[in-house]
Amino acid sequence: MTSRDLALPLAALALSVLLIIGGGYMTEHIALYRAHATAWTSALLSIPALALFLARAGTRPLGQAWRLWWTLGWLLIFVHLWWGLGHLHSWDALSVFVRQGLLIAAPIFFLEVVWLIDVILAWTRRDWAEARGWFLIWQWFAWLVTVANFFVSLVVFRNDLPSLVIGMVMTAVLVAVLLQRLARAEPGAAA
Amino acid sequence: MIRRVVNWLAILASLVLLVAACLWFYFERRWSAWDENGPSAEPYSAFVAGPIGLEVFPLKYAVVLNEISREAFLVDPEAASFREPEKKLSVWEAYGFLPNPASTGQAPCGPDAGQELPFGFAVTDYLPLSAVETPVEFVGFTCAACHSGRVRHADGFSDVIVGMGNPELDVIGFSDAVRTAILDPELTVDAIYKAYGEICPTPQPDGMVDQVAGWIEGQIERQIIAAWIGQFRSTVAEEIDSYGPPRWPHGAEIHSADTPRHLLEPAGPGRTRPFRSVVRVTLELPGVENMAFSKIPSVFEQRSDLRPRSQFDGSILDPVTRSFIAAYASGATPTALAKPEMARSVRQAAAYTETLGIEVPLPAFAETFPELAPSPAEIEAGRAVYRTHCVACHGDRDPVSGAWVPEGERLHDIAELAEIGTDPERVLFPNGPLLPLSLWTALPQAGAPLEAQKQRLVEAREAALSGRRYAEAQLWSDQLARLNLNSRRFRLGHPLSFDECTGETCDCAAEQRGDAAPEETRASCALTAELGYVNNPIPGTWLRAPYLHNGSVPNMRQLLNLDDRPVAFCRGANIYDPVAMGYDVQITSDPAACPPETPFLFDTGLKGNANTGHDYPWPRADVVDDPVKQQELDALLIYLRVL
Repeated sequence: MTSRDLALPLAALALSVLLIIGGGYMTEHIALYRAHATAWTSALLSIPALALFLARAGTRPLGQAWRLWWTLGWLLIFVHLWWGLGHLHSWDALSVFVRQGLLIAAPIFFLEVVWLIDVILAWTRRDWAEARGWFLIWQWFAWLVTVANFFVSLVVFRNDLPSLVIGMVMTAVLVAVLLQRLARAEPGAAA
Repeated sequence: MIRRVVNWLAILASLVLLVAACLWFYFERRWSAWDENGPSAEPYSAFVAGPIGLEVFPLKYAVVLNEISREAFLVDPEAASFREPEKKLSVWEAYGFLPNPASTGQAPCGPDAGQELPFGFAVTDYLPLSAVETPVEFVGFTCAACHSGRVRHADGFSDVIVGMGNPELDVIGFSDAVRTAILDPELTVDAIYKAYGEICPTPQPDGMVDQVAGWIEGQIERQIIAAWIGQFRSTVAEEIDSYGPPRWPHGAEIHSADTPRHLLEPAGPGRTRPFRSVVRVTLELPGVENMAFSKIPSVFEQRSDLRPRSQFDGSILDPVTRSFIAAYASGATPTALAKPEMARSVRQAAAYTETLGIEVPLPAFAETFPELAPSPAEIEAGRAVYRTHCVACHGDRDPVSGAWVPEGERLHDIAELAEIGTDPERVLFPNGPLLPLSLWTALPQAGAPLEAQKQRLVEAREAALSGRRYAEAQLWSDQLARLNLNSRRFRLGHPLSFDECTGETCDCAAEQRGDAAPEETRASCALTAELGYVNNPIPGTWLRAPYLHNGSVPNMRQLLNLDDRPVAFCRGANIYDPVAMGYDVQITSDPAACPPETPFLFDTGLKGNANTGHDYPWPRADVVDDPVKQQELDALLIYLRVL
């Protein structure tokens, strides 16, 4: 890992944390703001990882950048759990299900677990960058769970303007990358 | 090479920021830890020192307010104290705050600074409105700031009487003056620190580490105070856009230079405009036309069997809900009131009012004025009159045990306006019928009760739409949006939220259109809209002056129609007249004739100030030429000293 790999993701993380801390003092309810801000920044930081994966998975090595952005995105969704479950629900996980219903609450907890496992695998398996077989299937699964969760939370529910904007940006980037990948996959495009 | 250096610098800066962020989170957790054995732990200390979300300004500003904002508060720099003429009049005294009995007379510096501030001020680490904890100390009001008073007699003062409404406190004027002061462009962090340094010189700490730590702490404090000034100014600017500028103390220029005070800000000492505030915070309406004045009430003997419903109109069922609404109307946000310490303060303070005057004794009239202590024969004679004319509505004290007995066939009934004849503004103010639902849904519950709250708002909106009251329907839509937002903030329900209906079956929606609440609604609904005043016990009668809900009758002789009720009189730091049982006031209709210590002209001809009604036992016309009735009333007046 080089300084070039590390500089941008770390700077993005530091700015995100500043936004999470500082922005809270400008609002009436610091815990709700921080629960939201951690979700926004998690989505923002994972956009590069989601895009890199979509562009490269199964065809090219994912690269250090993917692993760093993917890990930092997870780190912020973990902090989101701290503010959302810890502060807003007083660590009462059952109350999340009672309030939001199984269909909404279960995928969020599922995402936390799947993303965590994928991050652990990314830092422990030698073939993390060029997965094949079941491991590649698992990575695609983790990617899909993450994209689906963010899309539903940010675009479908669109609780606030930042959520909608970030969700639309994420969607636009992923659609563009997908089209690029499909175009590359066509025999004529390679020539 | 340059790119690598830039990359490493970025990494280094990011790491420094992340470490600082981790430290900040760590300190945030330390700051937010609250002392479970602090003031909110027990009822008395919660009442006098427990935070209830009414933080106003930083402690450092409170310390220097007399120096740097005196003009904004319109306090003459040369004026002498009413209490101690050799001293200067302070802003606190000019607005009627009580001196703290624990004060040592020192400058308010160091860890005991709070006790050098007026009684009922709490020093906390909560930011105003958001109640986020920081290392900066803020000053907030507790229940005791308004609900504590002293009897000012010719020779001095009584001790502070906790639970008595402060008859001198000009709380609305003070609140407007604070808003004016914050807009002073000369109020800056530097100005606060400069003045503070002169009052509380801070020695430079020894050692490099302590100096650096002190510098960092100082910078954080300065930034937070600067942010407070900026944020408060924005809030006041928004309020000016919504409600108009504060008219006191510098509103005269907006009107004309000689507009008298009582026309600018008409509440005056010892009174509030609670429903203007409630309409503003709950319905987000200006409430400018709201003249529902209320004297700051005493809160004695609030136990539910004695006083099943609170407020002068009996519109609130539970004492905790009453205390929540009092704090909410005074500016506490639901976010602040959800803090465990604050929610506990509200509950404990409410519990204190249920014991105050029962388990916790009140000072007796005879202790304060021993020369006027009634003899057993006088008590007996007066009691006979009381039991003939007053007991049906107010109950009586048991002469042996001294306990208030909730007897009387009309006790706890609502006396309708046509019958009681007192000023109607307190119950007829615009938008009053909308408040029960709006207040109930201000604090979200959780689960099925939350769904019931939403459903009631939807029903209210639909009812308004079907009645073609489109503006009201929009208002309920806004209330529903607010409930949805708050239900996301308080996922497990707000700790002070309450049920709309406390009985098995209720129809709390029945009164939505402003009809008086039916009996069964009153018995079981947490909040009602009433069109009259409730008959309640009157413990500590002698401490309840001035009389009637709007404080329009200075003393009991006038309330009993032994004397004429004055049409206009001067209010402020009035001397207590124990013979008349109430305040000795200068009667005049000329505001310029009011002396400096009682500067406010109370004009009973103005809207909300009427001194009519409650002509019991007899109207003035029946008393004036009837010596027998006068004799009975004299006896009654003496008996009222012991209640």
